[in-house]
Amino acid sequence: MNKEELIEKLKSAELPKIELQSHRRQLRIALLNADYSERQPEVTISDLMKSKVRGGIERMREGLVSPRPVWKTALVTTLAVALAFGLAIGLPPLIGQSPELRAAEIAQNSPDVIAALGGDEVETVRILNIEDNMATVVVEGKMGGIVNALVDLYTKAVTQAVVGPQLTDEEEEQALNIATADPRVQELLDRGAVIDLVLPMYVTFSGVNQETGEIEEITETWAQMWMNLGNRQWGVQVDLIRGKVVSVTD
Amino acid sequence: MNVEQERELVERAKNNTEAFGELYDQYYSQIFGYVLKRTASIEVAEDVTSEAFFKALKNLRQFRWRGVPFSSWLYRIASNEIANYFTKSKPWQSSPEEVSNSMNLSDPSAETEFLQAEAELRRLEEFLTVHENISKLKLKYQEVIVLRYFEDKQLKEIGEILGKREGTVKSLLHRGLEKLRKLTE
Repeated sequence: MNKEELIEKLKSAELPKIELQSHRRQLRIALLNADYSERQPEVTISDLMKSKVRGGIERMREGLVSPRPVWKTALVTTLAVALAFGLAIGLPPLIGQSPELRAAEIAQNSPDVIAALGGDEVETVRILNIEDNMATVVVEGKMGGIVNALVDLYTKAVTQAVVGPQLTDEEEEQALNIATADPRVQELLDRGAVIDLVLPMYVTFSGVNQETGEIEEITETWAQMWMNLGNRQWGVQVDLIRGKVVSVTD
Repeated sequence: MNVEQERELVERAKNNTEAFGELYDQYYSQIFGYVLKRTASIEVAEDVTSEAFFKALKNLRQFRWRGVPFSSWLYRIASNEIANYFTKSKPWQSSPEEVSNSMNLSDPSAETEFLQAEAELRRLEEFLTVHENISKLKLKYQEVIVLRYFEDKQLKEIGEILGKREGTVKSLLHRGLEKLRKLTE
């Protein structure tokens, strides 16, 4: 049998057109009765802090070793502040008094944050870092707006609310093209993983200006995407400027 | 339902159970049919379809509209669930006891419908033979072949469903068909 005959055989096979009305009805009832509060992934802020955000930032630092050609290859300092806008999780239950939960509560109720979101409702709150009673929090609105907020846990106030980066459709497509060309990502895709989210992230680091010899701060917008396969998740950081995947982390 | 209507419905469904019910009504048959063609088992198709829709409900708020049809997202979830099923279990071999235990025995009409569906599936000998050969392929080949020839999806749409580039899909399809051809010889 040649290829054309095989294709013809596949196309002409009588396929099952079976539908079980009882299953359809029962599943519909079960879905519609499911508690909406259970829709969101059960991820707590503390889980996130341990498993995703801190790891992500540390790995970001490791990844920042190949600046654009105008800068010297070696970075003068390891100081790299990455304001990652990469995690999309459900709004965790705001109970308890941990610093993470307090920071999230303060940020999502802040008039400054709501104003920066253009009056939109808060959908997700992510804690990136807490240091010296100052928390860096990312708030995403239901309409997709992102605000990076600094929360003073001592005064319980938001001291800064800055509108986060946005990716254009072209940048998002570029990020997907870069990622899917990467062998590590390709391997995950081949195993059945899917890219669920593509989000922008700011990356700020110090580098030496080759022309002046001075240390300057560079801020770039990269993309961060999340891949899922079953219960496993990978974060993929894409340097849009140099057109490469910086890291793929489990 | 056009794209804009679907988009609006998906947005409503993020906060409205009834709207999700409309999406479910729209796509249940497609997803169940796809899973059935992948697994050739009524019981597995029921379980995997249920799991897929619950995952869709749970993760709907994370769905972002990027020009990819909502149905592709559902197919993607279903494909992942099928992959999970195959990686977590041996090929499906139910004993009669297992089959009856999995059913809602308090609903005689459901039992009758299930048995009729099983009989109907067993009647499709040609499909079952083809499926048996397809099931010997790696999952990555199975899914592109089923989506292309049983679900009649174009390469672009298969790429959207599987998160692969069109060229990759084409290459997988070519290699998958070649392997399937050797198996059918």
